[in-house]
Amino acid sequence: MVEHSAFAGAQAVTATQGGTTVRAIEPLSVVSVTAWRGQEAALADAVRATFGLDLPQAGRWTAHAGLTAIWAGPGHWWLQRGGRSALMQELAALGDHAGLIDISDARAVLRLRGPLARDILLGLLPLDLHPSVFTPGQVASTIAAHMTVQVRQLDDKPTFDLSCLRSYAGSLWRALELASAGPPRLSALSA
Amino acid sequence: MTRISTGGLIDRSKTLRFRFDGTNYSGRPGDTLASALLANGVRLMGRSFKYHRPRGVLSAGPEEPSALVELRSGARREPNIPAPVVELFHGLEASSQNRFPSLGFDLMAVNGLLAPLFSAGFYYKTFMWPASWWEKLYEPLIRHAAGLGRAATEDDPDSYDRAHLFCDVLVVGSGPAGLAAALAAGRRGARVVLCESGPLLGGRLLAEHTEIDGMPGPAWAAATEAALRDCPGVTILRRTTVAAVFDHGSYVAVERVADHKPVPDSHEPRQRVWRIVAKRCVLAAGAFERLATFGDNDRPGVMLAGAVRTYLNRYAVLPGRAPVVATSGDDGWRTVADCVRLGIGVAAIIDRRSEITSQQRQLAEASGAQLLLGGRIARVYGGTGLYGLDVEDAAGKRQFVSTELLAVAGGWNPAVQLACHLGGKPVWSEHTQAFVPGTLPPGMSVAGAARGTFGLAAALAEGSAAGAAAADGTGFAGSAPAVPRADDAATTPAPIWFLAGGRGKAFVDFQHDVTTADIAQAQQEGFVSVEHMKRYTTHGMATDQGKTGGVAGMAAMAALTGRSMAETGTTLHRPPYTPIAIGALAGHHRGKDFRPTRRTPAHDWAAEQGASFVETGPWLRAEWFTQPGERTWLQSCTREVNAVRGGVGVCDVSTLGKIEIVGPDAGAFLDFLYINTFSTLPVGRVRYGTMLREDGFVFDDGTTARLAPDRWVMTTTTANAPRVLQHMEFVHQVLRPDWRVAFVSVTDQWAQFAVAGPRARSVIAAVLDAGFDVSDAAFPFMAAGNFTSLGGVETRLFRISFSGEQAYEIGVPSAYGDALVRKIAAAGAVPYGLEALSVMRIEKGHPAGGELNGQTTAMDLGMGRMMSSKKDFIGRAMAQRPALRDPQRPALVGLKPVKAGDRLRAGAHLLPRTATHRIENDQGWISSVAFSPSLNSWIGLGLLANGPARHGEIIRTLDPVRGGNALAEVVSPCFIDPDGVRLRG
Repeated sequence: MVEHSAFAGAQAVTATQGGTTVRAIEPLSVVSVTAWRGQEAALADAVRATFGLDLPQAGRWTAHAGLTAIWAGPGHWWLQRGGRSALMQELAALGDHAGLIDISDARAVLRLRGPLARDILLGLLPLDLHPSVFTPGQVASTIAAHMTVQVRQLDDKPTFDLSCLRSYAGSLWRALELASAGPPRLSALSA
Repeated sequence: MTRISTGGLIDRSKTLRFRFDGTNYSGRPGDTLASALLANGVRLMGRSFKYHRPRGVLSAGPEEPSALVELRSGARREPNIPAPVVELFHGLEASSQNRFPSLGFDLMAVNGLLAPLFSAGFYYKTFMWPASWWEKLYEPLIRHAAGLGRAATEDDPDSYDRAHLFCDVLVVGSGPAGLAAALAAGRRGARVVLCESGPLLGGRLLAEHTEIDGMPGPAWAAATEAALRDCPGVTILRRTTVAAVFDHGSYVAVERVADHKPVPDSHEPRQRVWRIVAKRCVLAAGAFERLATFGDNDRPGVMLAGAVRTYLNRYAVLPGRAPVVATSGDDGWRTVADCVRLGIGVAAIIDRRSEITSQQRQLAEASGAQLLLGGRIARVYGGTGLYGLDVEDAAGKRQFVSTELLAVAGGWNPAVQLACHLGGKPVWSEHTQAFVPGTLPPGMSVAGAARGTFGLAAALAEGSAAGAAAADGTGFAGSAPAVPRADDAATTPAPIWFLAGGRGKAFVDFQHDVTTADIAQAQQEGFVSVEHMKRYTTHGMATDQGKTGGVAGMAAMAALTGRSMAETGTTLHRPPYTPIAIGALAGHHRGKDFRPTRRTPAHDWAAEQGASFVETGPWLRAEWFTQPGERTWLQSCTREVNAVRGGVGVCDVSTLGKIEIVGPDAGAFLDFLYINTFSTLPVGRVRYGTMLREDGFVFDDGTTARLAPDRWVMTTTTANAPRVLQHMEFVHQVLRPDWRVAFVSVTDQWAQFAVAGPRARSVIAAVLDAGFDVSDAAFPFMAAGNFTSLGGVETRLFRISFSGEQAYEIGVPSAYGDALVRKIAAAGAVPYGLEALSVMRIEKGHPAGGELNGQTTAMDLGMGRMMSSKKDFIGRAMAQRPALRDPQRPALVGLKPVKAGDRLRAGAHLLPRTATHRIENDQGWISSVAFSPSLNSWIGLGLLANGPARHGEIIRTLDPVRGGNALAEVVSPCFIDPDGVRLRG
């Protein structure tokens, strides 16, 4: 294998208690898209026209036909596809309105899915993930065990993607391992 | 045995065996260590801190100042644990503290006879002089005598968890007010977190004989708990103490997950620290009964009257034969009533008041006790256990009463601690005869005894109202909640009971052995403010934080100064409410998990090559690669330098900051950031640049390449990478928001390797995919471009050199970094680490961390001419300040020892050769040193006053710390290939 996992051998599916799993999501193609000042609307129009995708508002993500847009800051989005693809070229036309930078290998993503996901994340994130507060379609930048992470809810199973700097991948894995080691913290919140 | 045959919340069908001070005992599930010891007739549980006075158990809760034990043994041994909060488990092991050689006979009790020596301010006065005695005599002496229990000396085998919780309403305490509040808020649909420090919900309902809604108190608590479990938004945390209040509705609570078990279950944490964020908080923490002040009020057998009720009702234990009840108000009569109900004969009842109700008279008759109205305790008999009292009636007539238990009811102090954590001072309430919460933290309300509302019916009403209001405030409105019904009669709160006179010491702080005499001394010596008095006497500064004795001390000071309690005031409470183990605060962040670690894509490869890793911030970087036969780092490092200078080497430089910059205004942006010009750089070229801070000093340096007309990639030092990005964000967002430029960190995107040495080009040619021309003509020094390697993988190549050799940096997306470095090594490049890198940069005179120290200017570093005069840039104006342009400023030079073999030391001072070794003659310092294999000598870089004009001069390098004193010649900082022939070749 020429490509090397960010998680260095730890990426096998690992079952924690109660059918909750964690696995690495890689490779990904990710491009950082920063709108030029005043060009946000033109960028959104171009993205909609070309890809049928609505750029998300603050704190949200959207997806269409395999292309995902994740809000990353004011006027700043990450456009993402699974697997390795020529995403920079695919998005080149957006360059009139925005700066495009390839960050496919800059991030490492873990996907946590299952009934105990919220209970595990209580031990990792200073973030209210209660279903009345955080729902599929939302994304937040926060910290986990002193690392900057982006957390994104995918569905109600629930499924969360945690993204950190690639160099921290081993530490994020370890932090998740520690956060899920014990019995559930609160059975009531786990559902 | 003093176990009562019926009643209590204990399970008589099971027996738990435990050991205290090596003796075997048995208890019941539901017991605490304190209740089980009392049930076994053990009254002596510890020795006091200073005087080693025999002590029993005073209370039945976390406020306990006396019965502090070491719990468990070996690596799990924990000191200073209050016996009344230790849930009994099978196999529990505990031992008393602060006694030598045994609890019953303590040699250190002689301190009690030396009391005048150990009075207030003892430490401040005694251990002042001579200073040289501190380390050898005073400190070991104090350490031996003090400190109460012993911490474990082995590593803690247990794990600790930290977690976050969010809610609308946090309810602190599950007594009647707390339960009513949680139910009112929970039924409205609010997200409620209810924290109870004990194992059972109910608070004082478990300790008192009460009735709510026609049910006994404990049954009502259980029914309410069931009702709370039916509310989907309610979370109940047992064994969880809210320990601190912070800003913005943030609370810290400690959950003792497995403290009630011999050892935690597999993977179960021992304790967990919760950080709770709550929109509202209802503080229903109850109250602490306060001790009464009289001579020998600390004897084992003297207990708080409310605690006696707890032992009678909850644990079915009579703590001593023939109890005497002493009360300053109505409250003590509840203890009498419980004794009567349980058929326990009371020896005597002393009421401070001269008049009591007819009901109380009837109770007194039923109890068979002598009644002494307006009476007092004149003398306490019994050293290691109370056996009798001299009591005095109102007329001063004294008589002896035989008793083992004195239950003292001197009033209650609301548990105001959490209400004070944001600075709100408690205020004295004349009506309540106690300090009650003052200005509350935002979002907090207080209900029940914590607010000074001592009646049951009133507490339930207040709790319901507070819970409903808190839910209202978070958007969960509803009709008024049904208030649980209780029919207790209103009682009169009792004043503080301060009995001057009597024999023996009258303690106002049991744990720190502070007496009324100490308070008097503090007053005499001018420490009248309670905050000064506290620090001078250590009153209220022990682990119990004065929960029983704090107000008694204030009252003593008030009496001495003739001021009211309101004028005297109280000290401020700070977190934590009760002690927290450091391990719990650390959570999982210990050992290798203390902080996260950044690893480069080539980490595993480097480890396979024998790399030793060094921490650089969060990064792990290979510092050298030990080969068979190498015994020191210098051997490895020297070999690596020689390998590079004589052939070719490879070094992982992935940790250097990389920032990709795009946009039509990127060139102008770089011109503004750097002192030199970048906008003129052609595509496919790279340039070295230096940035200043606004104040004109050098901030960072590195190279920036132009890969396309509007695409650049900047490198920064490893240490400054985040700061440079932050600086750029500031410059763009605040100073030049109109510019069309975007940038993100791509440090993690690219695995990057330096390939250096005379054979570097051949290695690069072998690594790139076929068909690329990297000849000097096609790809000269300072060229940059896009290539492919590893069969079509996007590759960035830069012809730059830190080592001074022919050198490249080659980068691929991080997932390919492992494959790339293996291919480079297979092509013949020798791995070299950070040390060899550093040696070679010193040989070349490149500034790095030692020189880019935030105190040097571009001129100091020999880069003055790089500062463009044709454009504006950050730091330009401030760099023109005369002091920064002074030629006498220390500036970069090379240093070479005059005597072959002399070692230079980084940090050494630079002095004129013949000058005396005085600070006035100091002319600079050595900033970096290395052993140069190329010159076979130690060399150094330094910052020397007027340095560039002094090449050839012999100066002295003086290192008084390590005894270095070597003469060195001032030379050019570039020791090798000053014309740059090698790096261009």
